Amino acid sequence: MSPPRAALALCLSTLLALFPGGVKAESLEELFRAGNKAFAQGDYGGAVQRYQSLVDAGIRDADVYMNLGLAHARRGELGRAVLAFEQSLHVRPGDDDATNALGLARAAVGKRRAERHGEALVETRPPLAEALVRPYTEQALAVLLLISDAAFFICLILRRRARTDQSRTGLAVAATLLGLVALCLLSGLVIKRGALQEGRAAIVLRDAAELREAPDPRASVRARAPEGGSARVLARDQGFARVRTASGAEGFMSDGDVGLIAD
Amino acid sequence: MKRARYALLCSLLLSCVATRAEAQREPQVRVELSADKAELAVNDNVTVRVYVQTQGAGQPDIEVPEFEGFQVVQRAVQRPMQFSFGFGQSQPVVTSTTQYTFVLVPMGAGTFKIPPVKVTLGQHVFQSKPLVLTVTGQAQGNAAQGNAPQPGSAPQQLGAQPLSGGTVEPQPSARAATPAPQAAGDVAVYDNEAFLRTVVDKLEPYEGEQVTATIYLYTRHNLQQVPAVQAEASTDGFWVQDLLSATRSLEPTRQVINGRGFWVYVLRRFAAFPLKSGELTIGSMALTITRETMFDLFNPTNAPAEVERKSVPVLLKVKALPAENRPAGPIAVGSFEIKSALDRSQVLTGDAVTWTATVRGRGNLRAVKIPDPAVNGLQVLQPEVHDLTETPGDRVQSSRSFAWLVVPQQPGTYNLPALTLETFDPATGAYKRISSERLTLTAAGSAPAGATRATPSPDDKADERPDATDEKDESWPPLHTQSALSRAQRPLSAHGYYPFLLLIWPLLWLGVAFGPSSLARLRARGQGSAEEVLLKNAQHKLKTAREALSSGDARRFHAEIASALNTALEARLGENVSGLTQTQLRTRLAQLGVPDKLSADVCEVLSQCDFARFSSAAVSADEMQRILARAENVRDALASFAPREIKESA
Repeated sequence: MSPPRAALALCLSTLLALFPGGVKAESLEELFRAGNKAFAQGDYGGAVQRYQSLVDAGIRDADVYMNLGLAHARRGELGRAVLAFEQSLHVRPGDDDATNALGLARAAVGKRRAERHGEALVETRPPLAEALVRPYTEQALAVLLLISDAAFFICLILRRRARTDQSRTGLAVAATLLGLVALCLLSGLVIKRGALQEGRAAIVLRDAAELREAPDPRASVRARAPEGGSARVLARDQGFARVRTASGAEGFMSDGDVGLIAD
Repeated sequence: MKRARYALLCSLLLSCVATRAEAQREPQVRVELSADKAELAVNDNVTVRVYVQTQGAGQPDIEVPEFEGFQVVQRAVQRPMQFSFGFGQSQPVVTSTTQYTFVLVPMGAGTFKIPPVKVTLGQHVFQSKPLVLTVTGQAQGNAAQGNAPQPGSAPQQLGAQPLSGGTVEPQPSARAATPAPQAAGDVAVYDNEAFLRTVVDKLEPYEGEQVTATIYLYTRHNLQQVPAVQAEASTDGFWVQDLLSATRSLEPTRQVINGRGFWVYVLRRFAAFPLKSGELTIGSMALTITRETMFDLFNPTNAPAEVERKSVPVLLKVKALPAENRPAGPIAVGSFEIKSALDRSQVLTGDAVTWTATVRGRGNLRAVKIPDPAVNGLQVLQPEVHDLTETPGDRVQSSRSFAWLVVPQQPGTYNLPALTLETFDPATGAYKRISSERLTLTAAGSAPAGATRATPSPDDKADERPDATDEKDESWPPLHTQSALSRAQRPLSAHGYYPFLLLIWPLLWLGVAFGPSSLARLRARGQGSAEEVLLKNAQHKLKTAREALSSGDARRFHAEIASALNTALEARLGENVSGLTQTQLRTRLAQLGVPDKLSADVCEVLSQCDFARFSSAAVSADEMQRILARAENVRDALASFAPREIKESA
């Protein structure tokens, strides 16, 4: 290899090392397009496979989750669809499409359970505290908290230096308001991070998923969890997850029957 | 006249003699025992009257007999008392009448002899005639509970006690001893006071067949409270189902055994299913009985208020199921039937239906298990099992249902096989296979959007497309064709430095708010230390002055004293006073609030030092010693003195 060619190769390899995302993005983009193509052709299984490959490759994109959820829904895998839509909303809160799709998926789960069991309870709205912070990402709340924190203390510092009563009063009012905002943001951040709840948010993927007494397939069934239902994963052990469902039932569920909303 | 006197005297003597004789006469007692009828029917009742009348100085002791063979349903007592005083009598004559009235109900037919009534008055004992009552007619059945033993059907007696006459008082050790197991279906150790009786309906059952065991308590007296169970009858090797309610009340019935009436309580009744063949024992039950004496008010007995009793264990010889024609696999012992049903017979492919099999009948179903059915093209999930046990007529009837979720994987018609169960009926002694009816399940079309598959295959491409109409109905949002394909971003709040970012501004504010005042405080603390240094210098100079005094250097001594005082004044007043005149110094000290005496001392010592510096030889060593002592006092006084300005600033 001649010296100029060797130098060129070195430069290229350096560029590749410096910008791995750019190089890989092209193949990931192809995978995404292939998934969309399969979906359009009605090959929902193929679409799921490709979208899932993107997720396995570390992609945490709201659009990928959205399409994955749609493909699962078309396959009738409503629990997995609910999980994907929840994941999409986790990445991009307030997305209209994902919100709409999540509602449809939950309604379809309820309809199917009602046909099967005569009646069904459908989760339509989250608890109030979670609903309040649902439209915001954790990142947005963290940045806003940082800004309001700084503004609050700057107001306090300026108030000490203020010469006139008028400016002191104005700064005191501003500091009070900013303090309240900071407190609200702090509370929202705590709720968003799930610090007040045990375990991690998850979705049950299979209907009548068994909650067993012990992490053993031979253990007796304590309860069954409905497909698409919310749950908290408290721990994982021997291929089983210790799960608490929205109804309060707790037991060991097969790892494959429950999916985490966030990594 | 004389004759009349004699007549009066004689009459008085006669009356005295008559009075003495009256006083020493035996008490008059009348004791009667009577009934309003001598013959009565079993269902009739009889009123028995005990009449005791005494005339004397004491109170009679009346002993009322026990009414063997009768139940006292009503009793009453009347005690009118009369006092009479005769002329010339030294003490009153007491006439006491006591009348008992008992209403008795016979507990069985026969001739009953009621013992006489005994009355003790002083040293004398009186008694009535006995009373014979004849009860005719057939005895009515007990107001029995379930399988309570019939009157007259005395239990088999083991180690029997005397059956009539007297009160049987078993030895305490005999009470506590557990009788040996008996291979009999109706066993008890008879006792006049109380005993336990165990009745078993079957002594040689088959393995898994129901054996009904009942434990009765027989007691002569009403129970004051529920007996305290010391030990339950052991049932090792059995599956046991209680046949009595746990919240029932103990309602006794009456039964006559050997002419004695007993209250009979059903303590335990349970169905025992032997789990294995061979000899099995229903163990002994031990309890403590607290009883209430029937005649507490009239004739309290000396019998103990608490007695302990144990039942006789029963030995069962459990037969194994016959080997002849015995089918393989698990066998349910009893008489059962099996039914199966689907909640829907037509479903969409991929949708789940519930297939329920219910086994119902007489016997123990706890061990019954139906294997999961296997049908090609159907996914059968693990069943939910529900049990229901009832005990009508003391026979255990069980129901066990298995509910499988069944998911057709492919469209088509599925023939669900009959579910079978092998049984053995002890009544007929034969095996029997029971079967449910066959069922048909039709899975039509592909799964709609609202249906699921239990095990989706990612590679399966043929069945993904739902019906177009369903797709439109669901109104799913459109596919997102563009994506940034962004990777997971760790939020700012997840970083370890985020809390420190939040703390920067509060710390800055704390610095601005409290920094200057803290600096001022530190500065003030620095000033305080300068004062201390100066005072130490003054002390050091006084020490040097002392050395100069020792060496006899008067000039140096006075110079050090003056310097020490000036240094002390500078330390306390914050200014150099060496340049001031005496007058100026006095004025300044007065302004600072220095006491006059201290001010005078300071000025005097300083003037002595000034004077001695120019004529040091004129000052004696004693004088210098006094100056030194005075200078030290002045220094100490200045060290403890706070000038007015400093106080104000502080």
